[in-house]
Amino acid sequence: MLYFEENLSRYKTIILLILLGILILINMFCFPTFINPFGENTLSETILNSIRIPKTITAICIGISLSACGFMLQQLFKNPLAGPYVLGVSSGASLAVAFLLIGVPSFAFTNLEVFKSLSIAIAGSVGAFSILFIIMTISLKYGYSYILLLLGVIIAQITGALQSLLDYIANPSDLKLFSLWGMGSFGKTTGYDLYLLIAIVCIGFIWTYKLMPPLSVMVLGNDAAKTLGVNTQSISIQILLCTGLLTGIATAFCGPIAFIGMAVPNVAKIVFKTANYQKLLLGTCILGGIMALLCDTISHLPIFSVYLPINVTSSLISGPIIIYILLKK
Amino acid sequence: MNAFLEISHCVIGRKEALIQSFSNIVESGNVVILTGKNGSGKSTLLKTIAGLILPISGQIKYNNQSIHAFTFAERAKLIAFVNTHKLSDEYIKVIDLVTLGRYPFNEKYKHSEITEKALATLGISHLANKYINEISDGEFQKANIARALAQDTPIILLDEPSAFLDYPSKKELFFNLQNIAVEEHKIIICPTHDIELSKTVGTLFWHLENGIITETLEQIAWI
Repeated sequence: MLYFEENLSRYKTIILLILLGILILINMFCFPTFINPFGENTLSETILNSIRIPKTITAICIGISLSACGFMLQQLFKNPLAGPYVLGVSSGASLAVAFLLIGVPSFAFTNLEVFKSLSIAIAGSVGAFSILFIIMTISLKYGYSYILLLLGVIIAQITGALQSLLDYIANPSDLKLFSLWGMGSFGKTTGYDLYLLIAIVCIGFIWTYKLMPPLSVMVLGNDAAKTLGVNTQSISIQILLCTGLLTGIATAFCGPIAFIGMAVPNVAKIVFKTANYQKLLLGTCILGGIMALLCDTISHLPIFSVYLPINVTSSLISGPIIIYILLKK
Repeated sequence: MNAFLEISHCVIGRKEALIQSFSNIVESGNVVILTGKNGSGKSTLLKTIAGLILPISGQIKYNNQSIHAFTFAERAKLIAFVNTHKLSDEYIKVIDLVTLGRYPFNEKYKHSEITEKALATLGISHLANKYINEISDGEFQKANIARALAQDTPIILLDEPSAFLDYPSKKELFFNLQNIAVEEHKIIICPTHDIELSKTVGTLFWHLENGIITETLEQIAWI
């Protein structure tokens, strides 16, 4: 019985990996224009190397980081609707980045690319982490229940208001740049940004993976987890730091991406039905990559005259999934 | 010499003292039945022994070592604690829940003989592959206790283990607890409201009223 089930979850993982592979190929070669992978055409090669490959890698990285964050937040706050976007973490990150882009006037014209990538990433993480810190403080006082989601909505409203203020005082070119960024895109991360993104997502993933066993003990509640040798306080803080880092970097480079972080872990749970969180995390990350690539592929379909912002497609795909999960409970 | 749990001059409470200075020694092989009204501080006492709350003054020692001086990981090999917490996750099987008890020994997600044995002791081997939302509250309670057994500690603290159980299960559970304590030389401490039933299995009786714990050889009628 157990042997059979272990095999089953292995097959599921393999099928998901194949799906991921197919989506990678479609994403790189098919839309919006078809590129023959075997043709020798310098233009195609340039497009592939400088646009398509970075975009695909970015999409996978973002999918992994957001869904891993969503998974950790859902487990920590014991709420299946938690996620970096819903809790206002993404908006915190984007407000911090907005401050940097609009509030620091000469920033956009800095020629030092490394400095630019780093400071955007740091701003995003700091913004994300401060929101997480507020949420954690309040949840420690008032419990983990639905008040958190309301809190997230309110925080998003407040940061939204501050952002409108920034928009209002910004000059038109900055504003256009910033509002495009706010709609989400995987296509703008190249060069140092991309290296930094890959590095941080790798670090974040390993960190998350290590946090999984103690996190799985914490389903028993903090008291019982402590008596099983889990330092719940340290684990909670580590989860917040790790989530802040991952959401921060994802938001800094691609804008606040809606709902992926909330929907994917729920789907992964239904697919894998396991209490082995390390396996579940792997599944969540693969599914996150699939979801992000799917959103990106759909937004680049040639049936639309323009490329849709990622937030449009991600909301349209994830929304119904979340509604289904809500109704099922 | 038997292993022993020593409570010396403990004043217990979160901020204000709930329980006045209390001293006692419990040797291994005993089942301590703790009675008292709701809100009298039974759970607080249990959590203090579990190391979750520091006593306001005094010490709790196991074999002459203060349990509050241990790290979380060290204490997890000494004291198992079961409360009545509900799980929010639905895709956890009974066997997974019991296996969590092996976490202090770095056996993650592995099903071993000790978990099988814990399941068998509680008589829930047939439920091993059920998800926890498919079983009844009573069965979940048993699974939780099996988790504590799998932790294989000399001290087991069970907060109202018989809550949610039907009468035959309660009887069986208390009988089991007695066997475990005697055969495996463990100290079991459980607050309970099942006075009649626990009477037959307890070897020590603590009654908590108005912040004072009185030890009796037999259970006192307190209602």
